[in-house]
Amino acid sequence: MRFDVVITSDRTMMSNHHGKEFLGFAATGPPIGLPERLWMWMCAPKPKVDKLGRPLEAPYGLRKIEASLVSAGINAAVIDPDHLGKHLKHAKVLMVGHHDFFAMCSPSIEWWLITGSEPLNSRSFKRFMRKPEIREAKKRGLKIIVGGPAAWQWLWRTDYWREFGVDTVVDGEADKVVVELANKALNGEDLPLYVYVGPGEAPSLDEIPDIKGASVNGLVEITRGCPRGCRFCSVTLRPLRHYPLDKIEREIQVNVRAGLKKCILHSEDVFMYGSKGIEPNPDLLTQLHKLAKKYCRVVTWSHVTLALVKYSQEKYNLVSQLTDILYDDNQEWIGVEVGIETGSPRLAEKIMPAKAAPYPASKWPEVVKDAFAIMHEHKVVPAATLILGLPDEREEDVVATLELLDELSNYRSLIVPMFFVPLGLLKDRTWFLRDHLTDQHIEVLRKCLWHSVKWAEDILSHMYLKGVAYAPLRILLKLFLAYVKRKGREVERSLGKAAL
Amino acid sequence: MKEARVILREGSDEKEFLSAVSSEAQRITILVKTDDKISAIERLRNFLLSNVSKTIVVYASNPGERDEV
Repeated sequence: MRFDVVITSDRTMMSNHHGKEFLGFAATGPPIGLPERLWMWMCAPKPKVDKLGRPLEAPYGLRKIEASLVSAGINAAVIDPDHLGKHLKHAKVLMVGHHDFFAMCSPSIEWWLITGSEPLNSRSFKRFMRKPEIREAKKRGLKIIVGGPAAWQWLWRTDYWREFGVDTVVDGEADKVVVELANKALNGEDLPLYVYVGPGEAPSLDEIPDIKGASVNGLVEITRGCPRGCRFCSVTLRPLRHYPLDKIEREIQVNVRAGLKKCILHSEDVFMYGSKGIEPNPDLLTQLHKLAKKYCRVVTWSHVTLALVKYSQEKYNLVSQLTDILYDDNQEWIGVEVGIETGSPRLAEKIMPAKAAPYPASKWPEVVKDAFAIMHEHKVVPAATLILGLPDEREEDVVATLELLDELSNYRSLIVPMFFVPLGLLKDRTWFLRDHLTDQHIEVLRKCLWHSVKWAEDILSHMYLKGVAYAPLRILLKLFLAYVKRKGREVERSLGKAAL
Repeated sequence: MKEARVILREGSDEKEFLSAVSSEAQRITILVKTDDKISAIERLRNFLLSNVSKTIVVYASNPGERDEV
């Protein structure tokens, strides 16, 4: 069977990460303490594929592109990167998506700057684009179109744009434009070099087809966009759209038919699903969770905001209600990503005034602490981000963040500091680089390191990767944590710091 | 949706370009006449990085080719 359009990515993306998507984050780092092959196996093992090389599970974004093209009658399929050869002999278009082509997003860039070693995601992507089968097909006239949330990186890396012979870079929601581009390519028409899809041309819900194949670990979108307007964020530039329950159900069914027993509800803030503004909709949220749990043994969340965790619980007892629906013999806890970003009310007011809403930005540290307490009580384990080097950041802001970190030390969580990357409304600002680190920043890095190591050991011992089948991975991660602790102490000694 | 189209040539006046990008048009198509396609992106990089609100489509073609997209 031949496909005119092949959609794919490199191995760090095309994997189900042992059914534990958080392990995929290891690809944002360089393989330290372990050989690269072992690191790759740890975070991005090969998925199951059919005899055509189509993966059982693929990144949700690639599935959306596939769905758009197939729904428009174009002969397209997601193909595993190890099985491209036979398809590229005949395909006319190769579409490649990625979260972080050149390790320029956080946390990849931070790990690169700290270790001096290129992260796995970027190494893997470059190796992938240099595959002989892609080069050969390019000589025969293959068109290469790239896109995804990291598409902006190509503007900085035109050297690789030239080297890899990329024809078009697409930035933004590509559900509609990808059909137009594929048809142009298939008809031999000129392709644009670059397309940025502005918010005014974002697809409506009716224009977003359902996925046709299963997504990694059962991820399904429930909402697109975010109304909070944080200045460092690109997603907030998109209009807010909530998927109706029947659409979500259809996509869950696609995953269940493929044999998946897990569902990840994806949104910038799961608690905002079906909301009017930022007022949660408890009835719809309850229906959503009952629906997901009807089909899946394990249901998790991609992201929540700390403000709505606090508000939803205080006003509606919603965290309790939803975890009551989800927790059973198959599921005892839930992991989720959250944004702290800063502990400074002053900086919060400047950079993300609505992040704390419905509470005022001046109360941001209190919102963070209360939300962490609620999550700890309900066995919701946050992986939280901080941003160092935000524009207009002052020493007092970093000190405020340090104080907040002390307040959070007793709450089970991972806290990862990120170096500021110019995105969203701050796209034209200066990058935060290693030379910009002050003593206070180093102190933040230190506190986050020891906080996260302490809780990672606890989570690994009591909650994560349980069962005999996961024993090799558990051992590997424990070895890695031991390495990190040793290295952390070495760095502290070299800096003349007493152990925390 | 309001659209604007602009052609950028080597050494051309940037006024027409700036007028198009600051207009009310929500979609801007830019054709850059150049022998080296990727240099079109390098020339427009600062603008592309600073734009968040408009849909932008960039084509490149050789100076001798017709001015069509």
